Order: sequence, then C-alpha cells, then structure tokens
Amino acid sequence: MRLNLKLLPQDTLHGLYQSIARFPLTVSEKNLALYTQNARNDPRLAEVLTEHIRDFWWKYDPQVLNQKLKSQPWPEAIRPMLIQIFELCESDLHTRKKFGLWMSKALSGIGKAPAQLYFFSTGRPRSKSQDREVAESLPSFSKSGYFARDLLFNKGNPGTLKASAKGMNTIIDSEAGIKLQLLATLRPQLLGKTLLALTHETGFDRTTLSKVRSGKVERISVKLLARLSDRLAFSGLTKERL
Amino acid sequence: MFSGKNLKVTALGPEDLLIMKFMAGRKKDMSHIRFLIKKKADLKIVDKRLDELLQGPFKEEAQKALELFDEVTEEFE
Repeated sequence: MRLNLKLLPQDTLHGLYQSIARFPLTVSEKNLALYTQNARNDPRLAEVLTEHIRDFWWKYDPQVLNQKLKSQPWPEAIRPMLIQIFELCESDLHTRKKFGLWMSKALSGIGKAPAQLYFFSTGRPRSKSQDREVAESLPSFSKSGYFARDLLFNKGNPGTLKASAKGMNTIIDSEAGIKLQLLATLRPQLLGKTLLALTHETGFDRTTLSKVRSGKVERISVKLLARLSDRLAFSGLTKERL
Repeated sequence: MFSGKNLKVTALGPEDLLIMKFMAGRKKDMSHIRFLIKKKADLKIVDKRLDELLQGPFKEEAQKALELFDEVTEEFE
C-alpha cells in the first residue's frame, strides 16, 4: 500500500514551532507522527520536535504513536530523534529506563530506512556538502538508515530528559492528574491576557506564569497551581463586584 | 548603525551573519543563508572574508565554508 505524504506549507511552520512550544499538551499522537515526517523537510522543526519529545514523551501512549507512525510514509523518521534523546540527554536511571521502555514500544515493528539523506536536500546531487552529510553522518542517523551530521537539539545542547509523570498517559499518577485538571481550567483564563497584565492581577512572577501557560506541569507544584487558581477566581469576583 | 554626537552604535550586517552561517554550515542554516542572499547581501565581502579566514586558525572550517559558499551562490547565478 502506498501512503501519501502530507507536507505542511513552509509559511505555516513558524506558527507550528510556536504552538508546539506554547501548548505542548495539545499535540496528539497523530499530529506528532505527521510532524516527524515534515521534520525531514525542515531541520528547525526536527529540533523543536526532538526537544518536545524529550520533555513530553510521557504524555504520549507509545502504542497509539506506533500505529500513527506506521500510517505515515516514513515511520523511521522519528528513530534518530529518540536515539539522540536516549543516548545524549542527561537523566536519572529510573527515567532513562522508563524512556527506554517507552521508546521500544513506540518503535516496535519499525525497522531501518533504505540508505538516504535524512534532510531533503535542495543542493546539487553529489555536491561536497551532500558528500559530507554521508561521510560525517552521526551514528544515531546511521542506525536508522539515514545520513545527517547535525545534532537535533538547539545549539547542539541535548539538555535533560524530563521525568515522566510516573505512569504512562493512560495510568497517569494522581498528582499529575490533578495538575492537568487544574491546568485545563486555568489556561483559558490565562490565554487571553498578556503576561504583564496577569502579573498585576495575580501577583505571580512572569516565569511562573509562563510555565503554567505553556503547560510545563513537571516544573510546577499542585500547591502553586491551586494558589494561582484561587487568585484568579478572587480577581474575577472583585471585578464582577466592581 | 547609528552615529550621534556622543554615541556610535555598531551592529552586525547581513554579510557578517552570512559568514557566521557559512562557517557553521548546519542544515538549519541553509534556509537563513538563502534568505540573506535574496536580501541582497554583498557576496563579495563574504567571499573575501572567507578567503582571509583560510589563513587563520580555522582553515578546515573556512575551506568547508568556501565550498558551501560556491555551491549556494551557484544556485543564484
């Protein structure tokens, strides 16, 4: 069966980087699979996605992701990203083990691609830069059948593999569950306003508000979210009275 | 960039940025390189500076940058 490739238009990509960074929890397995195909056409998207997976892998059900990947023309395109995260990112043993298990489920039945360049090249065939891509290819790409020589992290800095919320998506632990519920109710109130206005309204600093707004649950406590929820409810009530 | 009575501000131009991007030579720089060339950056300055860099401590990188420069400028001819 021949599978169709859906290439996203170049002018929508900038918006896509922003939406992945600002609303990471809204990306579905289906979209992640689609974006990994497009990452071959845009190295910046490849970086954004690799960093997204490093931080939010625990949110995706590996079996669903695996199915969605198999419905795309190049399911192997995600493999170099996962290998680089697994091999290069710092992490504690527990997180690493969990990620390894998640990765093997997500990649189950997905083999090696026939030898080819990872990124689409617009240059002349057999040009020196293309030859270099092959000669200096990183092992993480070669293991997946691809050739490319760039690390898929911004500024080549792999960073830290973020801890999972203990269970996987379906059996998420109670603390993360509460956080996600609180976030779901809070975020609509946060999205329509600027960070400056929110700082005045709630008394919270910009960094914290930004973390809440972008849904980085592993960096914020339930207590903080509850306090923020209280403040927002209180400011809403006082406005109504006025 | 700006020159007043007491203050003079200098900033990188597209040519400087191009030199940096050619030296880095990453895949994600390619779209930026093409964009800067379309913005009419002076390629003679870039070529001359990359040539000078061949004499410096980063000869290998400068050589690769020059090869990439030739490849990309070929597309625009």
